[in-house]
Amino acid sequence: MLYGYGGTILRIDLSSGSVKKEPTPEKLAKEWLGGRGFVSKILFDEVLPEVEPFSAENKVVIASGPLSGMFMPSSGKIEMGTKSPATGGYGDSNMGGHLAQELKYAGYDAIILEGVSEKPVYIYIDDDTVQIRDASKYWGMGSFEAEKTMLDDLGEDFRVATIGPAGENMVRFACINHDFGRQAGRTGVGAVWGHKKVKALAMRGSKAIKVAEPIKAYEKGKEMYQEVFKNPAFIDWTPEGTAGVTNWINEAGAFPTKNFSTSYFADHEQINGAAIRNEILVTDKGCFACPIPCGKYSKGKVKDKEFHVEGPEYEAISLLGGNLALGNIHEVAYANYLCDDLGLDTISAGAVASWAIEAYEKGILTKEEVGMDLNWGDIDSAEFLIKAMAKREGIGEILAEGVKIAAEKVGQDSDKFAIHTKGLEWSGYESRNAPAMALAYMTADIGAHHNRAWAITYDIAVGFDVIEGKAEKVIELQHVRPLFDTLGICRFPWVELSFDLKHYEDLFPLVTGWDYSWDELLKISEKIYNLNRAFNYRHIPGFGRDMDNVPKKFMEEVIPDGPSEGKKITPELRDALLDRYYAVRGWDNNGRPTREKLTELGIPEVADILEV
Amino acid sequence: MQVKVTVRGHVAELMPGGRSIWHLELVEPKTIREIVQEIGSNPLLFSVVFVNGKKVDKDYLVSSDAEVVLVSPTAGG
Repeated sequence: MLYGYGGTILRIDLSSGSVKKEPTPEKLAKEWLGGRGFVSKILFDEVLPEVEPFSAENKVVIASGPLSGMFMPSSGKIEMGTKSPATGGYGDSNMGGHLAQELKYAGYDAIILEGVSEKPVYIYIDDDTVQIRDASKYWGMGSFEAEKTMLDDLGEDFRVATIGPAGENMVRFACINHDFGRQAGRTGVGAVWGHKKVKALAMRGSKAIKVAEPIKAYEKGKEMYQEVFKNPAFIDWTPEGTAGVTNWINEAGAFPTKNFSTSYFADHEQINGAAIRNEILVTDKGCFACPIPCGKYSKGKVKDKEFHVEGPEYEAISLLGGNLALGNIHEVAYANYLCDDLGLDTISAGAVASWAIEAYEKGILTKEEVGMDLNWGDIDSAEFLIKAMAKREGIGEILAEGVKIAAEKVGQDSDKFAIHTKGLEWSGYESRNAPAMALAYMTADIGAHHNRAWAITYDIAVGFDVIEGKAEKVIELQHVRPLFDTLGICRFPWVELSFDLKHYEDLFPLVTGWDYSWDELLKISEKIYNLNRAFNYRHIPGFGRDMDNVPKKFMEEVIPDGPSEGKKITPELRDALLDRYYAVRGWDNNGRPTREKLTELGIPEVADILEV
Repeated sequence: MQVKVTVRGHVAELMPGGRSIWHLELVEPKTIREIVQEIGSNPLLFSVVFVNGKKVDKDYLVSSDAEVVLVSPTAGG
């Protein structure tokens, strides 16, 4: 008997049209927990190295965690993963909203999408009824229209996730949208949906979940809710949400500006959290079971066009704002709206657009090739590029490949300002003056992403120029933060409100009946991190130390102005960080997990596979 | 003058000794930046500052008894 789980894994073969229901193995649950752990383990076991991201043999795994949907603050996070078309390696993305609990309440812990459908379809789940349905009606719609239309057709008590035209066109950084503003944005999971001809997922669940100690779990959840409202940080965090960090990031000299040419944007106060609150906010908006809530639902106006969008979140402010030099909150929100509706990851789309503008500025891309003048701080340029890449029109055909492949195709040293690691575009923290944060990006298991380890404050606390202790801190964070994605819950109560981690350690056994200590849960998170590293070793040709790198611009150009003026990443600094990181992790000098480490983590079979 | 300094949010764990509350006796007015340095930390670690419930900048001069609240930046998605 599994407590805290739906108890069933759905295996959906889009090629044959078959739907299989498999009992969730207790061994899988006990050893990999759920969410990110299920995604990692299933992809490692079932997607072989020779499988191309855009092929019938690639799979998409969608999983909730054991704490998803439980009575506790912010328990609505779902994980979606695949072999990434952006990196060719392990890819996942985590999303809030209302899917995680719906999946579990319908009785399922995970969905595995296999094969390729001949025609557009959507996955329909209504408790025990699971069907692959025709989606011709919805194919071609923007994300917002598709979700609205499906809710009109199915009923508003369904929860819907869709791809937009970018996913249909297999743009390598296409995202999945849900609840009119939540995204599984990174690593191109939406592009793989598009290749499989899956337009949407619609779910409704009404079943109870058995909990090991229901009364005690309820009392613990109640205590956690009460602590949120008593927590003074609650009043600091909620009004602006993630956008509240915009001023501080500029003060710290870490705000991506003009394709990471510098790290301070003079107009940042025009696009910060206060600007959202004062100029475009309609209401705060939360995910399932969230009392905080950090989402912002906004209404903007650009060129007489009114639009609604959730956000902008900080990442959109940085990549679509500073990085495109857009200093108007309505324009940033509009670029965000376009990305959401078309189904593009705002981070990668902003990075690709800014790369194109710099290439144009340098004369590498011409007006004839592009089709218009491209300029910094110009919403027309941003809109043109976003639409072109989503539709793969004109220059968009190249841009849709992501900044790494686009630079390879365009050549002319344009890779020198292609801001990515392992093929995934860098998110919103310029790190030439923040070695721990740079190391976090260099070693994130999906490519350049900040959420595995956010370490800038550690850089400041111990000193920007200090190396000692930074690898250890990054590794610690790389285990704690993704553990929340594994449990299927949001990390913000801990990250932003300083919730004691003991709460989660206390709640976990009350839900599952398994008396795991927090350290034991962290050990599972470390195991997942190592398995993903092994996945990348198997799947990405030439994978190793050379790919744990910062963008060339970070090493070849100093930051020209602002608080971090004069800073860059030297080869000596990079090597010192990696040497220590690999040593602490128990990896060899090329960043490969050793047999000793994998054995210690209980997965010696992975060492056997790596040695073949 | 008596000044109580409180750190809110995740930065507290990075403070010297893992402390989040200090009680200082100031013999002369000091700016927020100077007060943060006096408790052994870096003013850059904090995104927002309140003095007696009112939002101030880091150059604000504390010249009488006060409660200073230092708020951590939001910590990246």
